[in-house]
Amino acid sequence: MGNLTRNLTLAAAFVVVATAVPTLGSIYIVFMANMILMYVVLAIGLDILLGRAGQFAFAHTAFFGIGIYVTSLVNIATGMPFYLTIPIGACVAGLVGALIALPATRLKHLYLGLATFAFAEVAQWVFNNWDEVTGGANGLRFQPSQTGFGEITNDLEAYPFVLAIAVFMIWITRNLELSKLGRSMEAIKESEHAATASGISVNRTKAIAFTISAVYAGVAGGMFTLFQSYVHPDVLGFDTLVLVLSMIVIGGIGTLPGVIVGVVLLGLLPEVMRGLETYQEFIYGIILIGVLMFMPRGIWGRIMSFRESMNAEKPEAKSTASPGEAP
Amino acid sequence: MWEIYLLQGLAGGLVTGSIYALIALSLVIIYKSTQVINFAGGEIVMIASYVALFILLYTGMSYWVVVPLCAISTFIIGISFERVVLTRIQGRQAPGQSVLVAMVIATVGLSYILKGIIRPIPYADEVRTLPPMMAIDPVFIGPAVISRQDIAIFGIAVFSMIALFVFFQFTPLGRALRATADNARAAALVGIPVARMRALVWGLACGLSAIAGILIAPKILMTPDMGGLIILAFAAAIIGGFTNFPGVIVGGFALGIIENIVGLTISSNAISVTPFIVIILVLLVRPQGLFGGPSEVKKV
Amino acid sequence: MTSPFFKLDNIDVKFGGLHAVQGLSLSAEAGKIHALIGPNGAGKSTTLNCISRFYTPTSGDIEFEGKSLLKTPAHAISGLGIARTFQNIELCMQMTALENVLVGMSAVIPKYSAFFPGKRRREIEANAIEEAEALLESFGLLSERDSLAESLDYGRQKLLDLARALASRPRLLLLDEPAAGLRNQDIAALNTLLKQLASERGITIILIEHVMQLVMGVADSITVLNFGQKIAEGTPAEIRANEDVIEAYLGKGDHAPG
Repeated sequence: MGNLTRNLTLAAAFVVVATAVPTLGSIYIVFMANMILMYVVLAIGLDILLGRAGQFAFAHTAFFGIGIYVTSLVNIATGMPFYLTIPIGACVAGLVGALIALPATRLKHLYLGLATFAFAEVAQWVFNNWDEVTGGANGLRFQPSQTGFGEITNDLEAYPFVLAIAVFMIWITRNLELSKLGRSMEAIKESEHAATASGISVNRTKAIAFTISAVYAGVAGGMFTLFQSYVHPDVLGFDTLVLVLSMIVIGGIGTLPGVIVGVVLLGLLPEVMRGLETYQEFIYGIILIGVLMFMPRGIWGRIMSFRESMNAEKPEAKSTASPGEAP
Repeated sequence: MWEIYLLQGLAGGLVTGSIYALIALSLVIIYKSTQVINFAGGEIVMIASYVALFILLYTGMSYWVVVPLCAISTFIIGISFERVVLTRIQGRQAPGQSVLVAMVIATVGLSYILKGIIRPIPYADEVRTLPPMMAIDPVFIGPAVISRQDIAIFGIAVFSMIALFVFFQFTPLGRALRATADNARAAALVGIPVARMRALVWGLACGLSAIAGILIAPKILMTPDMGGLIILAFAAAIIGGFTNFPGVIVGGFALGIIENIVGLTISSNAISVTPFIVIILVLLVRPQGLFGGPSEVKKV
Repeated sequence: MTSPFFKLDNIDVKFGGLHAVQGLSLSAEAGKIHALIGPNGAGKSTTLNCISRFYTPTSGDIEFEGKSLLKTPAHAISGLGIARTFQNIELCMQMTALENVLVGMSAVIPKYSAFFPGKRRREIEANAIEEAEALLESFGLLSERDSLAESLDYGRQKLLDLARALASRPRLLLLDEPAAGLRNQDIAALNTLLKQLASERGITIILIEHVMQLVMGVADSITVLNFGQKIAEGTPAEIRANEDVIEAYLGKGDHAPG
């Protein structure tokens, strides 16, 4: 598939998603679409840190929560439109991300994972107990998001904005992939020595990765406030982190299409398993282990390997998966 | 007045701490041998408690039988998981960090599988507790109160740790396991079946968790989610530097005591966040843990 | 054009109780090839690591183009014009050959180009790729452009490591056992390549090596280390005849397998 064909396919898919969902789907399908788009941004954020920069950091839900609370509180306090409140939430999240990046860069894998995990748990505890700000265990009720022309009062009205934000974040990610920064992140994952000798500051790149990852989570939090009306700290804990992590791993860690595939699959999983809720955990664990055992590069990785073996039969075919090519 | 708090915290903390130390040891044993962080550690403990519950309720066998049975069942779970899942993951991927990530995530998958097995069972929808091992009548240590069962728990935990030490130091199998953990390739060269050792390590660690599970179940409420207590074991292990057995044991006791004192002096609400704060503080100040060696010198 | 002028001034490197390098001074002239040889454990790699700033000497100074390098962090030397290869071939194994070279160019590509407006960013990327491809071609690696570094054979990986180092347009090139593991014909090719880099491009090369075939073939001057100290210095002919060197290290044969 050449570049042009690929871009056309993507554009067509986008048009389908953008128009078919709101017109043909029930309100519930629109809700699912909103959720999936939000998880895409959340998952990409984690993938940037984990899959590309290779940092085993699990504080992601903390930044997600910061994005949610800051965006909704600023909205409640000032009524500013979402294109201001969401960036504010994302910036605060990014700031906190940058702050924890400083000590975090000193820690090695095991300790980094545990420290960031602990940070996320402390954050959740704060969300649960800081009643005056977050509503504590009662949760926080949002006010409708403002668009500058009016209010968003349901999933359908939120959808175009959620979609726009998701597309924007995907576009940014693509640019990041093909840039020196994206390469630097991968380089520090592959060989810190080679990176350093090549002029890449490992610590600075790690800090940037942390910050960017937190910003993505913050944006996802902002998206959350667009179509949800309420948040409870329960969704900001380890289970959500594991869910996002699974999406990345099952879909294809380190690859943009892989992450999207993972999000869509796991996002639709509860639907597929209607009526089997009690077995959901079990099936989920089986799928996770199964993919790890049989598809180490995730489902997308599997698809790519398949494609590569097809291409290998045609000697003239140029490999399409060259990440180095300019867009 | 505060001496009472301190003493109570100390006494109670030593009891729960001994269990944390035990679970932490099982985490560290696995980590030292296979570099895998076992996120399913808590769920192994949980499964052991439920298995114990079923055996006790349905067969009325005494604890003397229950403990070995549970240990054997978790032993089997541990070995099977290592042989079936982990070995395969290790073989499938190019060597490197991503293998470790995959194995760790696999343990997360295991934790969900174990939770998923227990949750649908009718017995799990109510909070349960294990029938007490023995009389719970109080014993006074100064102004502090603990139960006779607490003393038994402490005793069994400490005994297990000593048994573990003896095993690793003085038995051929224990030495072989240590050799594998230290340098797998060298161990293979002298004829130690490394793959089997790794499986054994998992089995052993899980068996240990079973004992811990049965010890802690009478003290806390049993739910399919009780595996969350693994974070306390992680905190204990981190205090100990994650690779230093005596340090980890000290960490366990320290954590139990800190937890109790926090609960008595600050609030019971703050108890749940204590281990996390401990983890963060320890790692901020000494990234290699309190008892871990000096920070690694970069070798080029 | 400033002449690359490099010197080590009385370098001492201690690791705890181990005195790895003692009072080492050496200098290298622009466009010349200087070899550092000695038995294993003599302190050669330690010295190279000091120059590339992975280690900091306990005392003494490192001067490059008239300025001290002591305050320079390891990741900044690439931007100053110093590049290095690694004994263990530190490549980004899961990245393609092209990407590895692009990584090597990091110091040359404008910073934060990811955040530039679209057209400018694409332009920067395209230019970088063009330069990287040219470099790959000069090494005969262009056909492997999209192959993962780990899929290349050892000899090609070594070449890629070198290409990565050259991507930053260095004026001083530090090579850590570049001939290790290479077949004789590849060593000869390396010989030619290094001489070309020095004479045609004016790159100063400091190399650590055990393979005497390469050392004697390319070096303009040689420093011999033993137990952290310099025991001899001079032209290849002088070194070959030097009693101390022969005693310490060379022995009878002067072609050691890689």
